[in-house]
Amino acid sequence: ARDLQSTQRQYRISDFARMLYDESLTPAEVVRRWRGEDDAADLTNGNYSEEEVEEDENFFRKAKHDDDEGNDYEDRLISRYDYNALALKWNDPDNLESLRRRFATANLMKDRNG
Amino acid sequence: MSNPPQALIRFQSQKSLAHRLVLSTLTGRPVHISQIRPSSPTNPGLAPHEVSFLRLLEAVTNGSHIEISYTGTTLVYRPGLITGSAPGSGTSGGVIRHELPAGCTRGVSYFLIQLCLLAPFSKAPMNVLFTGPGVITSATPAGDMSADSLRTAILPLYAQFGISNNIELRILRRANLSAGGKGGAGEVQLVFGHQVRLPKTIHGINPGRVKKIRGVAYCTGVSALNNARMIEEARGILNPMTGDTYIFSDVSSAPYLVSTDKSNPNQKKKTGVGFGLSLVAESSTGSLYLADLASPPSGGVPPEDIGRKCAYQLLEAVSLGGAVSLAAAPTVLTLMAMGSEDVGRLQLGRDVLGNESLVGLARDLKAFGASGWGVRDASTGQKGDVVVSVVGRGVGNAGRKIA
Repeated sequence: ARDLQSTQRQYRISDFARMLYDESLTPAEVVRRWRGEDDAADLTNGNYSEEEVEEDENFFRKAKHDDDEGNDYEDRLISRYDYNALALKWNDPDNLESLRRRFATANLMKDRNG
Repeated sequence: MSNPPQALIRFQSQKSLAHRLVLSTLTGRPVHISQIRPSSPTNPGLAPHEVSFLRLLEAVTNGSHIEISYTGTTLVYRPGLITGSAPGSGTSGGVIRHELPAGCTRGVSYFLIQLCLLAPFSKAPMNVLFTGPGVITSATPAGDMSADSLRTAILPLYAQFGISNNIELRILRRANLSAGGKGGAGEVQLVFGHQVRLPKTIHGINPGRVKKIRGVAYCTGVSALNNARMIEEARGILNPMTGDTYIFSDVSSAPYLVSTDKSNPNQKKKTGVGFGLSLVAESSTGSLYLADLASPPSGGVPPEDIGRKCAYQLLEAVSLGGAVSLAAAPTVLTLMAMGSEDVGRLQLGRDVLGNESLVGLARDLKAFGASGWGVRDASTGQKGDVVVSVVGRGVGNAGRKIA
């Protein structure tokens, strides 16, 4: 049941709207939470009150910050990609097939049938 | 102007420093930025490109006031009026020359993107020539796009806001990143001659389908064969997706840097040798997705790798969805926030919106008095897309109150 709950939490737009201007979270934390990539500590706290969650966040913030700064110290517009992972992803015929729908040359008839 | 002194808006850290300064200039609110790289052991405080950006702001505005603390970790900026290249301070023949120092590690697009945001709200046309030993027109490992991508994927976006006349980016001399990751010695001129009272409200809620891919392969000071090899590899990946792929090839010789060595003043140094690829996918509704990659300054990467990685990067950018790609989103969202007091909508992929820099941007905009973004799930387009509604602030152009 917990697993189910955690997948539902992922990418819910109302969550994002709530967190967007919540100054107690850093932008990185907002993103991580919205993607549901948060660690177990947050999942167990999922039902608790906001204050307690915030306290936890404060507790963990210091360490996380130090990690982040090494990686993402400066602003960048072109994201850093793991090119090996990308190459794997875009060599997979399934992924390519799903991307094909975003291209004008794609055969739309197949879509409509399915 | 004798406005009462406004309260400083306070920020910390060097994150999105340039963009905060631009927002400050556009809204006319002074800012106080502290904690700029306070714990960096090697170079605390403002980096060369940031100091240079402050100089640029000073050049295109009138009455700006900048205070930097002794250590460079704290900055107070009181913006003036955006005058553009009006005759007067620092302009010769209608052109502002801006020299970038040799220690600059960021591409010229770092400056150009922000300058383009200021330009529509300027009093006079903006005409700035970037020159000097620090101008890098290629993409950089620091995450800047190339000047080509800026020209083909960012400037066309201004047309959606009704800003389309007399805008030109001339890449006069190309330069990649030099050895050591610093400087280039290229030359770029930005002409931005369309000033508006308010940008139009846009409704970018239909991403459309990608119908064509354009690109520029560039190499400076190396064999043109590199271009051909990059293009070949990139086309190999992109051709199955769309038939309309065209990648231009631009070959130029490496720029020379006049030696600063006094014992041998005639010695010239080649800088900015390398190659790179810029790819832009355009959809049927005018959405643009871009990918950019250049050879690293240390070298040792075959052009095939650059071509392949860049093509994968483009596929990834398209797959993220939305009407605007991540690299262009700050520009579009900022212009929307500066628009008339009306609700504009923009569809973004969820991984584009769920990005640290955009969350930071939303908060910065709010700090400068813009209203909050509304977000909801998109009804059309790719699964998981999000529509962001932005209410304009009606800031507009102080120099053109009567239009």
